[in-house]
Amino acid sequence: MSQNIGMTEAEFERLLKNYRSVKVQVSPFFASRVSARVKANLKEAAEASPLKVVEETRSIAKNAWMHWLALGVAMAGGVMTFQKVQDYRQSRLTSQSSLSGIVGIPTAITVFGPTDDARGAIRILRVSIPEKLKFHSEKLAPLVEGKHQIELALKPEMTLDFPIMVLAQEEGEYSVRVEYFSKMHELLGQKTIKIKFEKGGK
Amino acid sequence: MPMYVCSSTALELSVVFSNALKKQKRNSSVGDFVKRVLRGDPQAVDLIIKETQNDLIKFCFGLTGNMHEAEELAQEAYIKAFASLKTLKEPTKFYSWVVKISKNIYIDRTRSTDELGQNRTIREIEPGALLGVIEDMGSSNPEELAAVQNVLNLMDPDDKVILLLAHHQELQGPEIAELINIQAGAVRARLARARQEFIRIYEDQGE
Repeated sequence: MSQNIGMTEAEFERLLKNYRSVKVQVSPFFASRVSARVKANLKEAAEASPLKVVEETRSIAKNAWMHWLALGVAMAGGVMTFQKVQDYRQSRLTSQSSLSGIVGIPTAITVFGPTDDARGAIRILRVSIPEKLKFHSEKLAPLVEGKHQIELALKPEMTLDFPIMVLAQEEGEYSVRVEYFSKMHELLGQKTIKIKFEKGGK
Repeated sequence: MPMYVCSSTALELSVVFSNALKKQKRNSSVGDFVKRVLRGDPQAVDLIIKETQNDLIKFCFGLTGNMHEAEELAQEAYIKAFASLKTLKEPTKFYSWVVKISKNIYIDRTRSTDELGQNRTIREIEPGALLGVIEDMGSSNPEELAAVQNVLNLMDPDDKVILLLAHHQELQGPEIAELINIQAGAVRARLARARQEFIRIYEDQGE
């Protein structure tokens, strides 16, 4: 084979062996990001029964317009249905509603990427933090330094969850607001996360 | 000289043996964690991911040639795997199972892109770009590694998968056959074809 083409078998083996020896740098947040989503999915599966109507709605909804139409149809069946859908959507915006952190140490908030039904409709994610908090990211330092609001553009095919790091210099309870918008900046959902920062160690 | 050949072969054998042992140890630990998840221990989910993420993302990076897509592919594979964990007959085979799932997702995505008549985005990777996502370049040279990734990016998805399973994940014929649903006897011919394709593109790129 190799004689016909030119490259020797040994050279081919060497190339692929070198390629195999490369270590890929996996994001330190990857495991927590995936497992948060896995756990949410497992929880969702466990709660599948009361949310059956939502699942049916989701299966009908192929795009955002269809989704809202389906919601309208579901509403005709009863206000409770709509409320369940809203609760469900709301619960998927972030993994936490309250958490604690230590002053001076970056704390991660995991913001879920859009669910399948919302994918494509949700195109902008905005995270707002109070003045006393700082965004923290070594990789994106020039982009987040000094900012108290960041917006991330989401591609329709994006399903990743977003770890967002915040840092406090003083003790206290802070509110972080997460909002999802459509491409036209129409607000599709929001959630506030309370973070209590305390001094670490004694 | 014969001494050199002997010690070199012995060294290679010991590396192969040590890698096989490492894989066996990993599969055994992961098997235990899978049993813990099935008993309702959510902490074991993290342990399984931590134990397998580097190898899986490396495999996905080989498929996609892009770190973000690799992480997304791996994430989707993990979610699918955990959602149907109860169907996994042998817990020690979790890793090859999740590799199979990621391979299927990748092939499905590629096919649906092709069916829609969209061209797959094939980005040429500059050696410098690899430095950002690769922790340890070892003694290899970045130009050569970028060239290998660029060839993989241009390969037919099925050929690329079999090449990565054999030369990257170091799987044997029967394991590969099981992962890509072909007869064990057909693996050799398919692999030879993939190698030939790799060499052809590599040499075309070099011209």
